[in-house]
Amino acid sequence: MSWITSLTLSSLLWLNPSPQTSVPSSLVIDIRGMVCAFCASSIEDKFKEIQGVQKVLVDFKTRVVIVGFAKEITMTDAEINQLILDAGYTQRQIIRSDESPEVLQKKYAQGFQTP
Amino acid sequence: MWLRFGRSALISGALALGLGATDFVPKGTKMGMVFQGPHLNRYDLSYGYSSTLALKVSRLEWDATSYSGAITSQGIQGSWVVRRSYLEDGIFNVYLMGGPFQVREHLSSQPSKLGFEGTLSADYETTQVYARMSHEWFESPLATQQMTTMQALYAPWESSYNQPTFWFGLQGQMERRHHTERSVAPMVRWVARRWWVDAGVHVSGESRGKLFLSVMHLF
Repeated sequence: MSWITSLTLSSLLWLNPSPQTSVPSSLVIDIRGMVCAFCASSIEDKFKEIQGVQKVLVDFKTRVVIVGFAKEITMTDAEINQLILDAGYTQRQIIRSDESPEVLQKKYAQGFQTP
Repeated sequence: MWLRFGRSALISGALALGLGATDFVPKGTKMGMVFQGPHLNRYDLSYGYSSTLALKVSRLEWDATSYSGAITSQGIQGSWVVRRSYLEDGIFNVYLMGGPFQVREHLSSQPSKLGFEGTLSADYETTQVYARMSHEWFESPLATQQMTTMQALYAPWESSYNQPTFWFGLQGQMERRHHTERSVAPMVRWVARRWWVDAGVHVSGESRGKLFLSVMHLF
């Protein structure tokens, strides 16, 4: 009986393999008080130095920085915090997403509170 | 006395106009500044050493006047973030800057003199409002003076990182040396990501309608 169960389960797995999990490749960061062009330039530069970062989008009005990675995000929250602290700011929230920076830019166009 | 007075006037104008734009650069970044005023050129190179400390080397060149020959000054300063407050609409900073200066008169046989410059500065910035107040001290055998500077600028079109922004405003100054003198300078600021340009017309009892221009670049 047990071999019938095993065969059935194997067939089900073969017919319906587990869906591939999507990997977060974008960061959306809410940065407190980001109004200075020179400081924002520093944030942009620091992220661009990170291996795998493809795009950095900065928006003063929403205080949002969006970072797009080529594949999987390679940075920990602690590393992101330190990078932003070095530029003179602190972050309020970090979101990891599998959507593209362009999609996220539209999504957060009105600010972080109303995505 | 007149020689000292003339040098003092030149130095005070230079310090006040040369330090008004940015007092700090973020960690790991470098900034170059060129300032041209009625009587001098100033060149600064700043480096962000940490998130709360930046270093700056400066060279100042004053024109010769009827009171003195051309004067050159070179120095190094540290700039510390004393306080940084993140507000809903912007940011408020307090900085303390200071360091030694070497001052030399070109045609004089006297050796270079050592001076010290210190500044306490506070600024508040949003995407449409910029306000700054500072108090500077300059002490050297060639000149001694104190100066209070206030700037208030407004951006009619809210500043954006992706678009150049124009700011319009006024700079007021009160300098104390042998006497107290007040001046005002209508000014325009243009900011585009890594570029920051200040231009204005400095008006006082000693200098009427003199243009000044300051260009900064972050790299």
